[in-house]
Amino acid sequence: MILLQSPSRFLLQVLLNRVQNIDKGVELDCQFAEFDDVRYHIQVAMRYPQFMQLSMSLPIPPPETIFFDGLPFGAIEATKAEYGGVVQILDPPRDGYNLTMKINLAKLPVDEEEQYDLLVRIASLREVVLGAPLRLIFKHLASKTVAPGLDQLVALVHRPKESFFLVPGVDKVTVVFPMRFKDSVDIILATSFLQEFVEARRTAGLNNAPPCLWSPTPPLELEGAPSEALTANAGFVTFVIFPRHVEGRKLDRAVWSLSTFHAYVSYHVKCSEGFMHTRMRRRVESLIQALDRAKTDTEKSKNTTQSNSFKRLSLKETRSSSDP
Amino acid sequence: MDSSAASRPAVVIDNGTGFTKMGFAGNVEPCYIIPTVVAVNESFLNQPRGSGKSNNWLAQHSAGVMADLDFFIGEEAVARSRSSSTYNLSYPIQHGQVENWDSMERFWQQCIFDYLRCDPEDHYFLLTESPLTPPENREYTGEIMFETFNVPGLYIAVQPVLALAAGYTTSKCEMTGVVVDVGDGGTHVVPVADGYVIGSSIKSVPIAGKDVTHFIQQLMRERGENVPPEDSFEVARKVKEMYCYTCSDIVKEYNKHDREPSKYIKPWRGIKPKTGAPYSCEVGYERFLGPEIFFNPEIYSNDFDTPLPAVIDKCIQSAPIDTRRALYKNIVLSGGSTMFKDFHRRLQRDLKKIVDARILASEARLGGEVKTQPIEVNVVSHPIQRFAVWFGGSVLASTPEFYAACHTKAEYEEYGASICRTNPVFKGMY
Amino acid sequence: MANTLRLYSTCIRNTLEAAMCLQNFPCQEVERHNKPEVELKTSPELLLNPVLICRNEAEKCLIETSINSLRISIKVKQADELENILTKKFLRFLSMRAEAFQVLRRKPVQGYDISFLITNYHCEDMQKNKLIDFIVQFMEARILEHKFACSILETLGERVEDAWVFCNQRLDRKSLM
Repeated sequence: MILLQSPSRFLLQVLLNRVQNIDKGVELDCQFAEFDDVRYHIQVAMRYPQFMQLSMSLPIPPPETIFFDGLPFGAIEATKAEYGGVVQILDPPRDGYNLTMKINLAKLPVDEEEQYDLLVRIASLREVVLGAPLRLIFKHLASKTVAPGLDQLVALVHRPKESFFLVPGVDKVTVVFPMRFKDSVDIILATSFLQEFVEARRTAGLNNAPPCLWSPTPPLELEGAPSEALTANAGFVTFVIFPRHVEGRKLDRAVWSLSTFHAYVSYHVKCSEGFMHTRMRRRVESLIQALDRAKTDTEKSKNTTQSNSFKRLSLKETRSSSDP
Repeated sequence: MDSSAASRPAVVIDNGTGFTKMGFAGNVEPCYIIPTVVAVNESFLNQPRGSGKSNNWLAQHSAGVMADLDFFIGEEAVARSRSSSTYNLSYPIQHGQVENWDSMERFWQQCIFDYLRCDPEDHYFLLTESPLTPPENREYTGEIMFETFNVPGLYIAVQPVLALAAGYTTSKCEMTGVVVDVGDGGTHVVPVADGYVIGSSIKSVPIAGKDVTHFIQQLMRERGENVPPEDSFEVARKVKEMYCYTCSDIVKEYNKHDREPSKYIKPWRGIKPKTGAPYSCEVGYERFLGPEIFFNPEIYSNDFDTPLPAVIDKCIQSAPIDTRRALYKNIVLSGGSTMFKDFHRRLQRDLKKIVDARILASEARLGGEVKTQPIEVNVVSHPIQRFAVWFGGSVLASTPEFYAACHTKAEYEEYGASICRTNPVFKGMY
Repeated sequence: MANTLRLYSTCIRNTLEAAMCLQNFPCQEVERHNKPEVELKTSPELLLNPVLICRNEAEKCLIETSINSLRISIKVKQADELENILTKKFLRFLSMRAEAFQVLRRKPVQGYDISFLITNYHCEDMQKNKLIDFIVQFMEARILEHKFACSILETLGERVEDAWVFCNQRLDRKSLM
């Protein structure tokens, strides 16, 4: 069982590898994809080994989501603030990508720990860019204010052509996820999983955790949202986030957990399916054993010595073996 | 939906006995190379069974659920099993075949979600299998991939065919050849004609990378090198990977070493894993004796004494007569244990010797009246040999034809797992 | 609840014991053929009246008998959609491995979830009472499996809860200190 981590494992591996071998002018050109259709492209030219060009493409936003220049609001500022002078954002981005930045590996901090820290933060680019609006809203919540112009229903993209909704307030933010799955089995599993999820939260008495609700129909908060955004085949999950959930260091965690909630549920649905396979295999094994026990000893030895293709049919044999 | 999945790079996972290579199609290198191993928590299985009371049973069941979810793969698994006794290592693949499907499924789960971090519903998948895999295993693979992971499309390729495909970008597209695959767990010589494996001519050699390591370990132990016994296998493996090479003649090589020990004998330094005390030892003859077991197996094994070049020759001689010349012409190496320096040269020289001797003999039999056209023997070596299979998969899965050749989820729902039994050779392979 | 289950399975067991007296019977129409008559129903005199054992509407068991073969079809309880897909998945899983279970019919009889076909050859090869044990065990196991499958989801749900919330809680505690 894993918890999805914010830094991309592969991106971090590539970054660390490059930093260690910065003098070797090895060319690098590779692309990879992550859950929810986030794609990356890394490029290092042989001539400039200290520069790494990192491009990221985001899921296609649905119409109700606000995007500025192909990025969620606040993303550019957040990126600049996060990485400082090490990173330079290129405009326009590489064709087919939403954001391209040039990382100057020569400008990384000399201190090993600081350097590693920064690389981890670069590997968490996804959280910085996609989580920027969430972070902005939560920051205002922590100081008990509402961001200007963000007091209405806000839609944020989290999957291709799908968004989740926030209702910012002074003392709480309501987050609503319409849950959609492609496969019919997934829908059923996810529905019961979410019900258990909400139930477990209630019974376990986790008073500090954000309250959480599941309903098969759109909750009242979503009034005014476009109707196509309100069809969800696995119901709606609502979290109510209070200022105490986003104080200080908890902010990062809350942003990451909420922006990857769908991936989280989907991963657990897959887990339970794999788990059922394990159980079924065990069950089949025990049943085959039960059946093997039924075989008479003579039959077992006959099976090994003789081929079964031809059966002798004599009345005597029938009688003797049918009676145990 | 399918078209959107086809716009993303396909996931290519090559599960080998020793190591798993995984990454995205279109890249030159796999994202990760990790040991194919799962550390499972089996502490729950050892508990005594309850008396059958349903309450007790439920509690135990739920403990079982927890234990089932508690596992690690790859390097992490090895580390966990060392530090704690609750975890047992399980190697899901033995001799190229999946033996433990539970572990395999968990391994894939972590590969996809933790390492590649992708949603399996978004990507087509290319998996590999050994040429000797029974068709049932393909069905089980399909079952896991389609039912657990809901992949939109799946293609199960044969490893040697992919290794051939890896060669074609570097030279030309040639889907006929012999693949000499020396992995960690097994060595196979597989002839492929026009993208199809000639199953009846596959030859296996019971000597592989692991045996080289064992042999080095044995040599170092017999010479009395100062290596802590619990670490000796690891040291032998590292010595193999860093210092071993193929020589052209053992006797000459012994002389070279004796004449100039300073040039050939390498020092090795390590730290004892238990006490943390440093130690040092020397690496000598095992540098060339290790890989030599492929060419003179009698120095290592009592049961098997056919050198690898002779096995390759036998394999080609058993293939259909009209393919033989083409097979001699394109012998492709694959697998980590073919990476020894000059391995391909030695192989080519020895094989050429066998072939030339045969031609001479046949010419002598005919009394010199007919002149045979010389047979070209060519052993191809390229730098990506170590993960040639993966690279071949990456190349093939990035062609547009790949998506058409895949079995789709819809087909699976319609016809069942039996569709996974056949995986057609598609265009782009030739 | 457990008691009615026991009654139900005892009833099935007794019926099977009575029904499972099969003998070799060559086909009457084609020479040297030997077919399970319960499947082909070539002639009425070879068939016996089928027995239907019902625990309730959702759980029943149909036992059809003929001179040389016996067909047992079981319908298991599917209270909700989750149980429904679990049954479907398990049955697909079983039918893929049907060769290992000689007595499993690859396709259930219409209206039922799973069917077994037992011929006189099976009775010759296996001990009759053990074979009945197997069928009854299979049926009981199915019912239990359902209960457990739900608990898988439940446990998973709790697990997530752990991960997702305790992280925040731990931070809570840290900030308090």
